[in-house]
Amino acid sequence: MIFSPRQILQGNHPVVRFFASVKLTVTLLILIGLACILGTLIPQADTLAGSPRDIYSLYVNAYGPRLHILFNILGFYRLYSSWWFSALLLLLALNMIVCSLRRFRLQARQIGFQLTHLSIVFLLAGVLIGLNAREGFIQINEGEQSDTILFVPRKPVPDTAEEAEQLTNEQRSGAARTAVELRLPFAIHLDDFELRRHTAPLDKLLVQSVHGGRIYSYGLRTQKRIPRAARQPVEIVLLDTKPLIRRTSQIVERTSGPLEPALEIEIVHDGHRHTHWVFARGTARRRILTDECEIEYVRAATPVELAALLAEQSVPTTATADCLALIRSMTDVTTLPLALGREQTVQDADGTSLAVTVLQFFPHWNMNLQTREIYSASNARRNPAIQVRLRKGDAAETQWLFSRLPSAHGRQPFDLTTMTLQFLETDMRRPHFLRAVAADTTTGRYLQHYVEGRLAATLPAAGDSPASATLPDGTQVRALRWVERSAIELIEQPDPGGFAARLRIRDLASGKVEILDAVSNEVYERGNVRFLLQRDFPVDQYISRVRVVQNGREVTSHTIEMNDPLKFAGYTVYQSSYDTEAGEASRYSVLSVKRDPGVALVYAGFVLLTAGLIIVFYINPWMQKRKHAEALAARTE
Amino acid sequence: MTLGPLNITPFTVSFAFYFVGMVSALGAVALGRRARALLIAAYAAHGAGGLSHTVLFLQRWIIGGYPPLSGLFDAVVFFAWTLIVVFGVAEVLFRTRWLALFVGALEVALFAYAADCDSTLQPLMPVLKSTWLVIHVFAYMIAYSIMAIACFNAVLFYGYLNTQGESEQTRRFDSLVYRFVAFGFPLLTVGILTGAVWANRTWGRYWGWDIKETWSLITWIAYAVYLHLRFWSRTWAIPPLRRSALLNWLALMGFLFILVTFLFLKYLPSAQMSKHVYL
Repeated sequence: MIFSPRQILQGNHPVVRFFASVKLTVTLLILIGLACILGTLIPQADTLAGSPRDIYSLYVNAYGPRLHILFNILGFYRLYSSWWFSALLLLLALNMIVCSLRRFRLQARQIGFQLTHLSIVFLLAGVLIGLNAREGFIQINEGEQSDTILFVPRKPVPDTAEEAEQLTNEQRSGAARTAVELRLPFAIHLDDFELRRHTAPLDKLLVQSVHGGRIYSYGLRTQKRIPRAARQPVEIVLLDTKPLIRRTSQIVERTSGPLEPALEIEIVHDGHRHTHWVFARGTARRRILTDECEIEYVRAATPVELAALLAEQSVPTTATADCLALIRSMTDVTTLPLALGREQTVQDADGTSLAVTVLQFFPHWNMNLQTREIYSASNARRNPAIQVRLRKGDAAETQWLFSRLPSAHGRQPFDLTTMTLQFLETDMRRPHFLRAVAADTTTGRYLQHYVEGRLAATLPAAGDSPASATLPDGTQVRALRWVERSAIELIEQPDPGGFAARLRIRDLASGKVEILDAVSNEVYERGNVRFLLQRDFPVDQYISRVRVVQNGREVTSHTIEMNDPLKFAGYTVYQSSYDTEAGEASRYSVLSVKRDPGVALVYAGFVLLTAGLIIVFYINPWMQKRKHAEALAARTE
Repeated sequence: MTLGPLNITPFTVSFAFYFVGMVSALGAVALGRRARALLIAAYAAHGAGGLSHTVLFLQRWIIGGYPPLSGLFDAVVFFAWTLIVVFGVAEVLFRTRWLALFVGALEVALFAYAADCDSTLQPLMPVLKSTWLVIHVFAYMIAYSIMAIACFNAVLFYGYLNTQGESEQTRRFDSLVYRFVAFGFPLLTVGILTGAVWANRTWGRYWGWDIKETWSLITWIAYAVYLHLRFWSRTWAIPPLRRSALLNWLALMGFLFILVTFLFLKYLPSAQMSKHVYL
């Protein structure tokens, strides 16, 4: 039997009737809806971070090994692109087409129905074309250009533990390709990336149960009383806020007083400049400057004394261990070994006893600026730091100390002691060793540069420029300022990056009230509640100023912002990311590049759908009402 | 629990009025037709609440410098505001004494929820600086409010069905549910579509199966099923009352899905990966 298309669509053929039925529409809609619910209950593989091993163990822990394999076969972990979900969508499209054609009449009141159902076909066609869309990332340094986009392929979901191991190892070793590159028909030149923040700070109190869960956030500018904190039996009332005073130490030169010779060293590396101090006396006499280089300051009153000192100290073999130095004065220093977790009791400067514990050691201290989580970024000694807790009676405080950034402490010095604490790092043998030598105040100030223990050069000051040594990696070390009578001076200055607040904390269970002077960006725990006063400068805009270069010529330029992508040659370029560790100082921008020819069809579908629904639900009923009214009027006449 | 000094702000004033409106409406429905004064009091309280609610909305708009639509506090307050406006229109058109009670209860619940949220006016995040966002939220919140009223009418349908059996009232509420759903559905669709356009402009994808997106689709499907059944199931072999009961159950479920989409997605296991869920 052969039917003409018209016969097929309007006839009574059972297949046609099946595909044209509203029962099928409703069944498909319900199935799609249920599948969607399932897809939000099962974490989808592409939204998960981590190695194949992590993904495998997450799923197996949640569903067990058998169910896991079943789910994987059924495509539940990538449900929305599984064959059966696509089949449901295609069936729905077919259903729409057959329905529309079968009910097609040249009538005004049919327009809405036809538009609505046709739009779904447009949408699905656009989506199908969009399956071939190109999407990738392009990372460009400021002042450079690139035409290579990187695709991140889909993450595999392993069926078994062995497969998970194998895939993870392949990725680790680089055998498996983790990204695919593709050339664009044009290049993007990044002039500048800017992360613009609001200048007004945003202060908040964040409260969370110690067991985790929701973080409650309260504004501090508008309300003084914080509602009963996070349904926990603790009430926090903000009594007062004050600007935060940051205390830092600085070396100054005195005209009289005891002789405390010190030398300010300037290090220029890779365009960055910073300074350090070394002292002729005490443990601060030696200091590690970089991974490659250490310095020592030797000061003698006379050439004879110098000769004696140099003879006594051969080029150091740095055998002593890392230590924590407690400095009462230049000459009165106690050192403690870094016994992690062990409380060591020392005598404080005022004669009371002080308990010191080194809590943690991180070779490469780093902080995630978003979560404020502190971690070691690697095992290399790039920024060694220890966390130290001081305890005196009931009072305790905890701080991070950085061996290479001795003045960069959060709040130095400690409040519990007048001593200065320093983390001294001495357990690495460095190939380059500098010795700053000063025999008397007028002559004989120079640097000795030892390489692998052998004197390689003696470097005196030349004219106006100070004595300086250049290391093979390009680092320049300069003896900037020789100070005879140095002293440590505390500087107090307001720190706009933080604030201090006085809180009244009432334990509602026991009625106990505590007044707490808290500082921002530090976590406090009381009872079952953990809280943090947060000062943040919210991001105003992410901006990448780019130029499009084709055949060596600049074709166009654009300032890409969030919600304002660059459009060129069918490609759309969006702001995606940046160096999140560097923040404002990010020297590169990550843009996402997309070419999706299906978007036009999808948007057409949007317009048709909106127009169709407006006609069906707003215009048609209104017309019908008017017709009824007219008919009624005609009848009464 | 200790009570602090009561702050008189547009927020607390609206909260108090809605509470009074809810209690008066409860009295009005409990006492029936005898308590006309109570019903008028309920309408007056809701009206006054709505006015100070409008002041709250405009005040935050002026101080913040942008329409206060994003962030959990503002989203909940704005939903509550469109709800009271839609309720006003609905009462003018189809006087239903019960709605004053249901809407009052929902307003009180929303305000209690918002009271626990962070109300600090924050500078707008870069992603949210878009006209599409304004259209998106307006369309959605009006749609949500209309669907809330549809849901209340469905509850009333069930209430009358269980107490009085099939009657003039059940037929009236059944038809009201349809009229609200039919009016809200295009707005719900506009909400999804403007959200997709916004996402495409920001992230370069109009649909990413984020759980918020997926649940908005689930909600849309629930109402699409309602409308298809309403239009086409008359000829099916289902007794008319069964059919009405099924349809009203769908309208009820639809609003539950809306609440899940709007407020409760943070409890799903996959919420941590979402870009869009209020946490």
